[in-house]
Amino acid sequence: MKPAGQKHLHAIGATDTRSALSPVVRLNQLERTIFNLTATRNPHLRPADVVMLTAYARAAARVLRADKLDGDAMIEKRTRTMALLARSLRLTVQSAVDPKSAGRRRRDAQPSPLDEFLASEDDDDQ
Amino acid sequence: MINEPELSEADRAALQLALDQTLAEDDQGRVEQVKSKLRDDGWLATASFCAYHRQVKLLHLAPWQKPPCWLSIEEADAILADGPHTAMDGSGKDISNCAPAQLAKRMSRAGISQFHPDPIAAFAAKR
Repeated sequence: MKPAGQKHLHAIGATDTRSALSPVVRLNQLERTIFNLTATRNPHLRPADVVMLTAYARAAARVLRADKLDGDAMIEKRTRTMALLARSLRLTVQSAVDPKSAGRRRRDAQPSPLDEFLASEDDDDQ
Repeated sequence: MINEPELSEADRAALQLALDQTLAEDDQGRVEQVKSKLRDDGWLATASFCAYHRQVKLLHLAPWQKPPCWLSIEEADAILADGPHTAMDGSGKDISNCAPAQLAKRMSRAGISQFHPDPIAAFAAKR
């Protein structure tokens, strides 16, 4: 049987990511991994954010470790706490990107109707 | 600049369709703009504008891309001979007019007016 945190590390695709930021209190393995993963993938985070980031790492770990015995109300409370901290740290798309920019990025990432039409029609244009 | 006497019946019908489609849009600002343009500039200039507007909108053309209604076959050939131009931002995106040029040539071969407001629908209708 895997140690308590291991299945969660696999679930979040964590690798050995080290960050220049350090948590303000001692974290367990899962919390530390979430802390490092979040810090390295969000370059806008600064030393002034470490308190909030530490709290976020702990909250996220509690959500990942939640099971049925905790009860729906507790799970929901923990999830909301995690989401609130994520928004404060601007980790979520909604809090980091203007909605119009996010929509434009999503649209630009897809082929246009013209590109789709040309790809679907086999023709010689030369 | 196109002259009205040079227009084929297919071109006239396509331009009128472009005008009709634009006047049917939900965007009342656009509708008022086109009505005003009809009064001030006349049918040909307004319908040509509508063809441009509808093609850009329905084909989702990028700001640098010319719609088929702006491309002669000679210009399309020159663009295709020049080939694609890759953006320098590392995205791999082609920032040439090759795609609109290919469409313009296919429209010409298929007998679809270059002013048709919805070229893709026009091809679908021909099948």
